[in-house]
Amino acid sequence: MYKRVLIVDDHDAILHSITKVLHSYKISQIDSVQYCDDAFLKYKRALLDGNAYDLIITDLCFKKDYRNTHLASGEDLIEAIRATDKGISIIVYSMNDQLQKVRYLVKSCAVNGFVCKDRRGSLELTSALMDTSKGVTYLSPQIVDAMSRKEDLEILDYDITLLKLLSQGKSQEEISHHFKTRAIKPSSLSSIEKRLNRLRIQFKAENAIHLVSQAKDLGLI
Amino acid sequence: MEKSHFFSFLFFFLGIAFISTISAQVIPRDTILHYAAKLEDPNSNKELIEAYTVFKQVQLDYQKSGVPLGEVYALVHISKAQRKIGDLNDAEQSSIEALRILNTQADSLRDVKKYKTIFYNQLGMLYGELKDYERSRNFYNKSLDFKTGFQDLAIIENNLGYTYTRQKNYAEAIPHFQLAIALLDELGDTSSTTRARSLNNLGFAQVHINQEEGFATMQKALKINKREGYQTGLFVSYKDLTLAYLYTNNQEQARNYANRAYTLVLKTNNTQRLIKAIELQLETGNYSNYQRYKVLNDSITSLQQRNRNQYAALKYSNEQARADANEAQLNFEQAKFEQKRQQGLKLIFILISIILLSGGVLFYFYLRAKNRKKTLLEVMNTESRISQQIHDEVANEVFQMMTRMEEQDLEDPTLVDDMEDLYVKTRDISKEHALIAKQENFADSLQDLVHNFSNDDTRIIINGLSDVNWNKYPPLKREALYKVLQELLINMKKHSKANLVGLRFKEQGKKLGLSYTDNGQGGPINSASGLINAENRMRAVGGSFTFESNDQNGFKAQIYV
Repeated sequence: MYKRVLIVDDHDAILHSITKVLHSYKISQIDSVQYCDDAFLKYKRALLDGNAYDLIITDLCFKKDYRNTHLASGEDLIEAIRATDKGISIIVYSMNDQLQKVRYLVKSCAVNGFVCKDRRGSLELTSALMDTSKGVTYLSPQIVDAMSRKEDLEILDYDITLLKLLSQGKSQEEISHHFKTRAIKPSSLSSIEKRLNRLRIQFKAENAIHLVSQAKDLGLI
Repeated sequence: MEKSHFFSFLFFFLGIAFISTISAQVIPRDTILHYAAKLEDPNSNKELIEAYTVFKQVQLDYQKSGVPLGEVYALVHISKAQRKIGDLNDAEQSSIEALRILNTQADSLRDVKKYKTIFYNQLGMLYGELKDYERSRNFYNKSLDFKTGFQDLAIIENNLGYTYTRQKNYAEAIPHFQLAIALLDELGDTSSTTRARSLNNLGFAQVHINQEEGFATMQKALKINKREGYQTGLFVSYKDLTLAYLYTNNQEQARNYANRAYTLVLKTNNTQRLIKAIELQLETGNYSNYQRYKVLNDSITSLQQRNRNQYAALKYSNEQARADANEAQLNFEQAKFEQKRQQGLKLIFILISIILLSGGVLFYFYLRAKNRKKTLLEVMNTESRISQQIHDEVANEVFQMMTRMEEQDLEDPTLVDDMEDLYVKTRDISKEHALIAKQENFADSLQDLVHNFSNDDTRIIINGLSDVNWNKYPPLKREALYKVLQELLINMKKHSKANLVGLRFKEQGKKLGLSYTDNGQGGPINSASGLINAENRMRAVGGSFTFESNDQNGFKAQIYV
């Protein structure tokens, strides 16, 4: 588990709730700041003093106020830290749940965890602490798709031809023959069956007839 | 054995299409069709030369009226005539000229693809006749790239196989002929001369690798040719049967078929075939027509020479005609120029006023368009600013409140639920109006958006999204499309209870179409809902948005941008 943690967020209530989560673990030092610039200074200072932080929990979005800021967002802060320090763990705790943002932070900035702020935020933060301390990347359930899509939502022209043939009452053998003579790949019986099964799941269809009717209803064939 | 007369049916179709679209033709349409048909089954070289002359004229006409595909149409026939006359180099030149014209045309035009197939096939044949079989096959394979119908594929496969037959590589040839026949089977074709040709070729090859059934296959071809009364095919059948029986040392049958070939040719007036038939008889040891053969052979040599001279003269006169036409054009231009200079000042004055006037009008439209774009950008920026504000000031505060309430062990837990509801709503409003995150790939942004709405309860199925060339569309239009799709999906989630949504992207010319269909409860849409926004957004970027909605059939929308 972590020993020294720095929290960056501009809302007191949130700082408070994160601190509360951290208190249930044996963490010797918990610091919190409200500006990214301050966070970066604190991080540098600790590094020089020889008691560097091993985790930073940060928001992405900070409200602008009277102060002139150099690092205006959590993203800037993360980039600044990662420019020299690949070792420190970073968990993002944010309202932003845009998948491309998540993808960018995890891929390009090697962020260790991304937790979405909502009602289960505190719970998920706990899981994130556990996972990341073991070297496992943690993503909140609603954004877990960002890195690897569970499924591809797109169906190909091949699938549409397949559905069309099916709607004409062709058997799988006939469909296979149809593809073979046109040199369309894949044309083997087993791959056609696999493909149809996949389509059935995608269309939430009970059987082949249901599948065809669903595809018709959606105007795909 | 003979190679196919490539794609005669296709020419016929294309021919009609072209001739009917261009009415101001010098050569009447009937004449063109007559010679196109003649090229398929010519009786003599004279006819070929006539056809060549006609199509050369057709080409010039189309060139003048600036119809590139018309020119290509003429070149198909010119090249074919040249090949049949025996001028392979010129035939190649014509094919290459045609391909050059075709390369300036968009591949998406249906006829362009067809013509490319034709010319690659043509080049394949030419190189076959020049005995450069590697190159020949290369071109045939190229013509396979442009996938046309099964009949064309069958013909090309047949031709491919034939290159192997010519190299006496029969084992390699057979699969091609078999595929050609299988393709014709798929079409339900059991009796065409195309089929007879492939059957004959297949049988001939089978005989040469000592497969007995080869003769039966060739007989099938012969039967079809007899029934169809196709002279060329019949002659080829007799000729190949003679050669096949000679190969298996069956002198009696060989002589029989050589004689049949001879009697068949006697009915027609084709000297070249007559010579070939007598040659066959000679090979089977029948010398009865030897004298006639000698006479014919002498006469045909001089006839061929005469034809060749005729053709050469024609070629020259065509060049001359083109040069004359160019000169006439030049003179005409000069005269026009002179005239113009005389009217000089007056014209310039008028021109300047026209330029000023139209410039003014254009400038007005330019300003208007620029203004509209500025307004659109302003609207977008304002939207995103407000969205940011909602995010920072409201959503964040609400979240804080929620966190505090959660910590305080309230007596009424539903309060936190309500708070959460409020939080989600505010966040959604902010999200709906925020700018799309900058991303190198717009398709990914769209995929992400759709992913956010797809789960086990609601399946979303996309088709065609990755095929769209997004860079073609200006960012404003893409942004609008994204927002409208988002609104549709939010609407779906809120009201429709749909469990299946289909999204189909399709590029139609310059426009991009998106059709949205779901199977939820459409119900009456009140105009105050988000859809008014969608309509406005589309109108602002010059797109369109239509929808229909009813209780049973779910909700459908059509977007063009």
